[in-house]
Amino acid sequence: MNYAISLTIEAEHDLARLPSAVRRFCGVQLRLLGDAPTVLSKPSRFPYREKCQMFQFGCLHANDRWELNALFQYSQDETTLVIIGIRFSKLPRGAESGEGFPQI
Amino acid sequence: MNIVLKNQVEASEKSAQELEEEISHAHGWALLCYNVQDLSRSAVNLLSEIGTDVDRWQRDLADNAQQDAQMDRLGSEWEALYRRLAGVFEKTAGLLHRLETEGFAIDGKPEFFAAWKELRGIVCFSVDGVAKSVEQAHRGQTRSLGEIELELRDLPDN
Repeated sequence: MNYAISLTIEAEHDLARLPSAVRRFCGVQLRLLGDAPTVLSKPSRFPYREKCQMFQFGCLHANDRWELNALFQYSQDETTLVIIGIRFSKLPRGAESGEGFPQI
Repeated sequence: MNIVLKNQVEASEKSAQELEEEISHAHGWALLCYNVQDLSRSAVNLLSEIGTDVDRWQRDLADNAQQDAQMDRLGSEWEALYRRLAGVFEKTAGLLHRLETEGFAIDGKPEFFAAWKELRGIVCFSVDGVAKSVEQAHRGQTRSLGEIELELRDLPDN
């Protein structure tokens, strides 16, 4: 089942803060998430009263490794993934666990 | 909150600090390797234990539909504990790197870095920010990805 993707205002601001190339990459990845959320995400242990799911992905851009984290919930009617937030860590290349990140 | 976990995080912080000082004038590398390995395992276990407690707390909240301010406040306490643990992970990663540059291999390295990645995915958010965003979702203040992308298409990079 494919899910539509929607973002809260907060998540929208997160997306806007990304450089355009990373933002486009993020959009592509979120659509992939919509195709297979159970495969690509896992329950987050973020300490908020409601359970959220975590989708972690990344890319190499300019001289950095971008590690992106999208927190989301399923909509009540189970048709949409509601993105709650998108945050990133920017780490120097060669740092751990950047293997397999695509260059954008 | 489980006071034992809090104390364990504090002990790990102390241990990471001591090992950092020790490694700068190290003589007994074998013992250092053992201690760093032990610290990295402890950090991974602590993350798992905190996560288990957070799961239990979320289930308890879901079972009690009533708002309970005291229960709710625990979220911020977990958040603070996760952040302290992130500091331990960061120091431990530095110690692992240092030992590797000295030619030592550490067991459990992939598990350590996988756990640290998971933790980074937690501490990059704040409870207050997530609460605000979830409220927006509940009020229907959301827009589709396509619509947002169209609008941001021409936004210049900072």
